[in-house]
Amino acid sequence: MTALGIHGRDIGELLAPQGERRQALPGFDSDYVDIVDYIIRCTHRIWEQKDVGLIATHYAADIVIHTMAGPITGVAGVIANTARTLAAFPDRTLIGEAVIWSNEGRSAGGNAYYSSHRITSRATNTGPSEFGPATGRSTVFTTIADCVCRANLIVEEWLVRDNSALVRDLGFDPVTVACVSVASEPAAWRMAAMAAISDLSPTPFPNGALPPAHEAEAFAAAVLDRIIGHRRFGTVRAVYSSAAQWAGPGARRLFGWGEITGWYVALIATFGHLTLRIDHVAAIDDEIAVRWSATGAHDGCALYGAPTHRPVYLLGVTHWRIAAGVIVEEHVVFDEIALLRQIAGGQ
Amino acid sequence: MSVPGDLAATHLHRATRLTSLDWLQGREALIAADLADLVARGGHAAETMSATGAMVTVQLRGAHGAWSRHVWSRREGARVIAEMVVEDGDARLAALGIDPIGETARLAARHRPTEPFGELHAGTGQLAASPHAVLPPDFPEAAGPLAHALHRLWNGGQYTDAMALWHPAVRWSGAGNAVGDRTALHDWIMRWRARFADAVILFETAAVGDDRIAVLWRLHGTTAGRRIRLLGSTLVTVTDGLIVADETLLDPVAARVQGVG
Repeated sequence: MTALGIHGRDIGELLAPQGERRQALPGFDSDYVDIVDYIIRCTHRIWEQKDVGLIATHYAADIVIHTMAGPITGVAGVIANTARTLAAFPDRTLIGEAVIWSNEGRSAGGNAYYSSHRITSRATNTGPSEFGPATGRSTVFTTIADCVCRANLIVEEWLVRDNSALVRDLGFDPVTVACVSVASEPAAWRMAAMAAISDLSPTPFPNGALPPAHEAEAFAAAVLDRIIGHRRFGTVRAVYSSAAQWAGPGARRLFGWGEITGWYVALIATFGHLTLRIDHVAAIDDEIAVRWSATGAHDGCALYGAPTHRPVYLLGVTHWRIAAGVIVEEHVVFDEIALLRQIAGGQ
Repeated sequence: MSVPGDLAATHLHRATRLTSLDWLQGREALIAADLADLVARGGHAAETMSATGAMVTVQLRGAHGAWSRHVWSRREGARVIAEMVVEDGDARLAALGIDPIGETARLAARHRPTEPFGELHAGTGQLAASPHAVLPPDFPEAAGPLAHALHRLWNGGQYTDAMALWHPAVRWSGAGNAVGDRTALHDWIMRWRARFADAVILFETAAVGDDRIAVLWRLHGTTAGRRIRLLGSTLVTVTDGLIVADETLLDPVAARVQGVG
């Protein structure tokens, strides 16, 4: 038995009682039948049913949530942040677009699952938010939450949100929102994260055949090594469908080889020495989730204004949908507000 | 034809809708848009005219006339997960009695374009357009000849050879309320190409049924320094190997909005 997944299933069906357990979930609440059910149902309960207190039974006390703006530690911080977001966006609905999961094997605490949950959020900004005063405007933005789940608890999370799309929807200017009053050195956590990526040895120049997409880890490694690592942008035409649809930060939507190639070129033209490390790959059915981090210096003007030569750290998650062996749909999310803040000299 | 609330039964809660100007995400957004559309039509119901695989032709009426809409759907199981909707925006505005200049300005004020990434003709450099279009892997084989002909017309400018697929007396209608025969189709494409000299059309999907073939494509081009990105849809009827009817939809309103927005 395995998780049913969300393919073809409406929200009413997903949230109805699911019957017998379909997957080994030691230590999980009895009404969760598989890891996808756990993710979809607890998200609905906490955010849409406003049972924010359930975070205490669904997050480890010493949880670390990694974001591009820095880590958040401890369950109390998660509860406080959730309440703040709900105060600003009380009608937020969270549409689960994908739950791409993997079984991480047994550990002392029981089976651990890894879940990469892509969410389209629709919300109205009726209260003050971290970005400014209430605007009354509506917004649609994408979030991906990568979680390690064990015994009913999320024990570690990597959270990426398309904050620049959100900020624009609210009518604010991303550069203004991201500005800092006094430029400073990167924070210690960011220095360490950047150093860990910079220290990686370069990979050999890739010339062989690409692994098939169903070998998800090898495929992801080869695709990103060629395109990002070795700037072989023409690889896009080999691994993407000519009709591939791409969604990225700032609610950008691209279509086809020319535009997707253009995105990669712009990224490297902005961060000329960008180094990317794949941190996790999960795959289920025709979907692949790749969590990655990257570092470089802002030494080009393609995406984010005149070069500042400041070091940057990116935390991103990419979701691919595969058909006939090629990528037909890509969603890539990272926080451009946090990035612009780094570029402006924030910690 | 269904009313907006019926989408709860036919569309997944995750359903999206793409037009040349909008990307709606979530069934609630689709229902809200359909309600607004129904009100704009004065309550006139939409009428399904034909279905060709994943593409449905819908006829809509306003106080001053009618217009056509091609609705392409991708399903997960029995329900729609994604729609691509193409219509002649000028025909719609005329049917609804809406001033096109004012509407263009209104839409342009809220339009947020994606910056123009990359080149239009990917990786071809100075090479001339090939005889065959690049088609996605799951493109129906039976739609290939039509796609290749459209490619040679739009991307290659090979009007004489490519147009042999159309009967000289084809019943053609195109965006901007244009109608006519093969010559009219030829002239219409020439006008669009003249307007977007670097334009490329890219093929997304196709549908095949009985004597009909439908192709969903995109037109990307540049005007006044701005990237134009339009959905296009062509539905043809084939008799004895020749196209005898052709309804091509492309949104001139979206082109104007993107050109000034």
